Amino acid sequence: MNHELVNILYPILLQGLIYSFVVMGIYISSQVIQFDDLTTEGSFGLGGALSGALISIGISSWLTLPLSMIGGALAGLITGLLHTKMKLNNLICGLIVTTALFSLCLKGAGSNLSIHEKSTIFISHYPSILILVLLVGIAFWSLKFVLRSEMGLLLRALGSNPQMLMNLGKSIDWYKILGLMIANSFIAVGGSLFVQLNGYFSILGNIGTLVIGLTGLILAQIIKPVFGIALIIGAVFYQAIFALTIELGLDPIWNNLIKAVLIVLLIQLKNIKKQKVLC
Amino acid sequence: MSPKNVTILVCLIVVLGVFLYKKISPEKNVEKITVGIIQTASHPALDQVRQGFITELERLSNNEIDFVVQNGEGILSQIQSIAANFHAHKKIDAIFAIATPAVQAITRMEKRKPIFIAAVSDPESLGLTQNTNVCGTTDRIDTDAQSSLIKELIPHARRATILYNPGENNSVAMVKKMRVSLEKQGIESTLLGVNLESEIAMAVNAASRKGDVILIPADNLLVGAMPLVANQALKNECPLIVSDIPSVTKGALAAKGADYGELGKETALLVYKVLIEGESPESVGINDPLNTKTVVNQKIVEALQISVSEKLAKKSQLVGNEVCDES
Repeated sequence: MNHELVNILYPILLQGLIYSFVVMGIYISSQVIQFDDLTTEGSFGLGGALSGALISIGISSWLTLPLSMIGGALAGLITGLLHTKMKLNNLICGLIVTTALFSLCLKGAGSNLSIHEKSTIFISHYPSILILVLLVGIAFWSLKFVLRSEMGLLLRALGSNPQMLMNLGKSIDWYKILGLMIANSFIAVGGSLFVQLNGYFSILGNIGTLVIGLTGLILAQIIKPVFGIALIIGAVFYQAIFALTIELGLDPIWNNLIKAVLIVLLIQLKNIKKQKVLC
Repeated sequence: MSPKNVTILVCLIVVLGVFLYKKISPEKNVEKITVGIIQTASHPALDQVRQGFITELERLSNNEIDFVVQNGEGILSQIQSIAANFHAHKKIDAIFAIATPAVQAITRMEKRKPIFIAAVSDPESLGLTQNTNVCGTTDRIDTDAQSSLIKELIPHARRATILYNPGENNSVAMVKKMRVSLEKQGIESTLLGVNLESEIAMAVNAASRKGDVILIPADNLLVGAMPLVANQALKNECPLIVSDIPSVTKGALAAKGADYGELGKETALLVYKVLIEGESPESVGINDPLNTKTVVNQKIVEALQISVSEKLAKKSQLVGNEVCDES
C-alpha cells in the first residue's frame, strides 16, 4: 500500500515542480513589477511547442530549454513593447500576444505532436524527480540572485514605487519590459518541461495555466507572503488539491466545485494565521 | 480561535479524514474487475461514448464490472493527474480512455494494465507502436462514401467548404482525407478554420457564401456548437453535411459517420474479450468502427427543397429534429 501511495504522490510532485516555474513567472509579473500579465498561457504553450517541434527534428532536448527561454522572453518583450510603446492596456497586450502565439504554435508544432519515442531530458539514468529538483533549484537561486542584485532592486521599486525609478533617472518602460521578459522566460521553460514529461505537445495544453499559476501563487503567499521556497510548495499544493479531488472519487461533475471549496478553505487558513498575530 | 475558524478547521479535518479513510480501508472487492474511465472533456459525442460503453459492458458482464469515472475537462494537467492516479491504483485493473489527449496521457504512463481507447481519429500519429497493452476503436469514417453522399443529395454541388478547428488533431487528420475524396467526386474544396465558439456564426456565414455545401469533420468545437452551426447554415440555405450521427438530429442535413454510442458499445465488447475471455490487447488491435450509418434529416430536406432519391432513402435512416423525436 505504501508503494501505491508513493505512486500517487510522485506524479503530483513532478507536475507541481513543473508548475512552480509558472508560479515563479507569475510572481515576477504580478508581485514584483505589479503588472497583470495575461501572456502566461501564450508563453507556456510557446515553450511547449518550441520544445516539441525541436525535439521531433532531432535537436538535443537539453538545448530546447534555453531556446524555450528565449522564446518566452521574446513573447514578454512583445507584450512589453505593446504596452509601453503603443500604450495598450496591459491585459489587452497579454491577450493579443497569447492569441497570436496560438497561430505560431499551430504552425510550428501542429495541433498535436507526439514525441513519445524521442529522447527527452527525462529519459536518462537519473530519476525524473532529481532532474526537476535540480532545474527548479537552479531557477530558484538564479531568480533569488537577480532579485537581490541592483537590477532586482530596481525591478522591485518599479512595482512598489515607480516614482523612485524616475527620480533615479531610470526608464520605467525598460524595467517593465525586462520584468516581463524574465517572467515569461520562466513560464516558457515550464511549458517546455511539461511537454517533455508528458511526451506530447497539444495546442490545448496551455488552457488553465493562468488559473493554476495564480492559485499556486496565492497558496504560496499563505505560507509566506514574500519570495521564497513557498512559491514551489504552493505550486505542488495546487496539484495535490486536484489529486485529492480525484482521490475522493465522487461524480466528476463535482470536481471543480470541490476544488473551489478546498481552495477557499485553504485561503481561510491564512486569515486564521493573521488573527493570531493580531491577538 | 473564533467559532468560524473552528468550523473551517473541522471541515478540513473531515475532508482529510475521508481521504485517509479511503486510502486505508481495504475497499476492493476481489471478485469484481474495476475499469477506470478517463474522458478528455465534457462533450455530447464523448459523453455518448462513455454511456454506450458503460451500459453495454454492464450488460455483457452481468454487472460484474465496477467503473471509476473521471473527466479532465479539457485541462491537460488534470488529464495527466487522472492518468497518474489510475496508473498508481492497484484496484484499477484496466483503463478506458476517451479522445486523443486522454489516450496520450495514459499510454505514456501505463505499460502494463490493458488500455482501451475510443474516439481517436488518427492512432498512428500517437506513437503507440511501443505499447502492446493498447487496443480499441477509432472514429474514422469512410470519407469516400461521405463524398458520394454529397453528390447524391446535392448533385449541383461544385464547391464545398470544409469548416473545422485547426487546433484539433482529429479534425486535421479527417480533413486531409475529406479533400482527397471530394476531389475524386469533382468537388472543389476550400478550408475555413475556427478556433473559438464566438467565431462560429461568422464562419458559417462565410462558408455558405464560399461553397454550395458545408462539410464538417468530427470536430469537438463545431459538433459541440451544432445547433448554432445548423441554424446559421439553414438561414443561408446552405446544405450542411456532418460526420457524426447526433448532429443530424440537431439540424444538420445529413451525416455519413460513426454513431458515438455505438462506438462505446463496440469498445465495451473489446473489453469483454480481453478482460473476461482472456485475449491479449495486441491481438484485438485498434479497429475502425463497424457500422457507420447514413442519416438524413427530413425537416431540413423539406426546408431546402432537396429531392432524396429512392435508392438513397432506402439505405439511409430518416430522422427529424431532436424536439420532434421526443414525441
